[in-house]
Amino acid sequence: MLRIGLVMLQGARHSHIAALERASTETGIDIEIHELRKSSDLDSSEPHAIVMPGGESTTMRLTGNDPVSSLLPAVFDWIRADTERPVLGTCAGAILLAEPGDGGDSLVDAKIERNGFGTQADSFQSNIQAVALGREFPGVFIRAPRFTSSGGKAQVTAKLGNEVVGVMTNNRMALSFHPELSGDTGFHEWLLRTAEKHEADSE
Amino acid sequence: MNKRVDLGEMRHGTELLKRGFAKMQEGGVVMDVVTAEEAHVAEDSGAVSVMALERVPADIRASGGVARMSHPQLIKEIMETTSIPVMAKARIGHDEEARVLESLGVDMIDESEVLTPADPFYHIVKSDFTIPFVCGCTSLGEAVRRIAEGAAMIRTKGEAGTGNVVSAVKHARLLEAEIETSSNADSDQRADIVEKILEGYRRLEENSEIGAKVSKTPFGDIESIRSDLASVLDEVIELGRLPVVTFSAGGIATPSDAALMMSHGMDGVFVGSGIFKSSDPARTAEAIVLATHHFEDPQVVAEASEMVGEAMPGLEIDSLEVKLDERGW
Repeated sequence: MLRIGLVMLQGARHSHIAALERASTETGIDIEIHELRKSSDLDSSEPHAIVMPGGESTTMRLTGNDPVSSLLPAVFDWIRADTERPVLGTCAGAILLAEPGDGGDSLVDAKIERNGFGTQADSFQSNIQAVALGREFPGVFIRAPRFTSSGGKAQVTAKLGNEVVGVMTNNRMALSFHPELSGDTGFHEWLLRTAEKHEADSE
Repeated sequence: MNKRVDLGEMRHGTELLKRGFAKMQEGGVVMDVVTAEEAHVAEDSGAVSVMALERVPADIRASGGVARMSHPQLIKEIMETTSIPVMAKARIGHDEEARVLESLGVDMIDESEVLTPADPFYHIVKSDFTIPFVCGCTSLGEAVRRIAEGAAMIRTKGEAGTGNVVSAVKHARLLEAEIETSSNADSDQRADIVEKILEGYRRLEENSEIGAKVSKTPFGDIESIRSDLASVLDEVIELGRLPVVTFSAGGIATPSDAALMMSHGMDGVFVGSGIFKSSDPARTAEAIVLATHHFEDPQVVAEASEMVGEAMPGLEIDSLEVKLDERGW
């Protein structure tokens, strides 16, 4: 049984729960989803992997850094404690991975710009190349952030034409789109398989 | 590093993108703002979006008269100031105000009873737009009509500008009870429910001297509306809730009001006059964001309540000259 921690600060959290449950069925990997609202939730659940959903990154920074919650500092500590820990950050979650904003290093080796494609009228759907999965993937971009550069420690995991829309450093995957809304659980399955392997390796 | 993407080749304005935008608002607080400066305060206090308008509902009530879409210049100023999504209100049934708002580049339109309705018979044809709409509802039937017309998000239609949460609670309770009743209905009863919901499209008939019958509406003929309503109702029954993100709005003035609405199963809250009519808007805004996020934890809601000074003055619903939840249908 794998424990998956879901950062519940704000945003499309319930769509991630549904996608994780479908991915569990697809892969046959049993999971237990733990909702993380405060740093104490992270301590008590001891997750094997973490999902950081999309929403508004400004709101997440406020609720996540508030002394009442302190969830974000705890999540960043958890990620930094073991470079191979699997993390999936989508949209605003990807922004937090690229710019944790806590004075520490980026958690993925890339720079990102908020709302890089424009307003909601510019939000779009398009097939993308999911390099990490070795196939096409239905991309859903909602007021999406845009990767402006990626460094040597970043592997490109998704592309839209020549544009990078997904990067990974170690096992931390940052996607500027919303796999949880796409109906395709490929990236959630990747998370579960990676978590299973990491768990087996560390035993 | 990145080559420019040709956005013209992408699919825009799909149902998935509209409802998906609303999902990004889940768990958040949308705040009414009337100046660029207030938009700044709202963003810094953790608002998930701002609603750009000329006057907050409490002032609209006080000044009376016809309330219309805000001036484009004000909306533009607010859009330039803030990085979070900007929503703006159009009058019920005023497709042209909505077109103006869409061309200004707002992220979502609120077809709102806070403004004076423009069409006594029909709401805006929301499915024709690229950007998503949020609409108010007092009951399940109203929510189903709005979703069938293309609304991507629903909110309760509490009495904005009163600081009195009772109407928002009333709508949330009605919605919940009616969803349960529909879920327990057999197929004949479901068909009856659809017929009742369809009545909302026949308002014109009551006004016709010579007995005009409604066969065509801006949303298509009655037959196609009936089938759209039935499929939305099926979706509601399958999910046990509305198929779009559902917020509470109207009369939310304190952190515990916000927590109360979240405990009624709402996905988030709109706060209008409650923030910028309070004695310390920035603190009140932050406290309401915290209480919304931690609504299940009374200790945090208590701490949030301590953060705020005096709440806005409140009004009894029975004393109101204009009841907003009677606008729209």
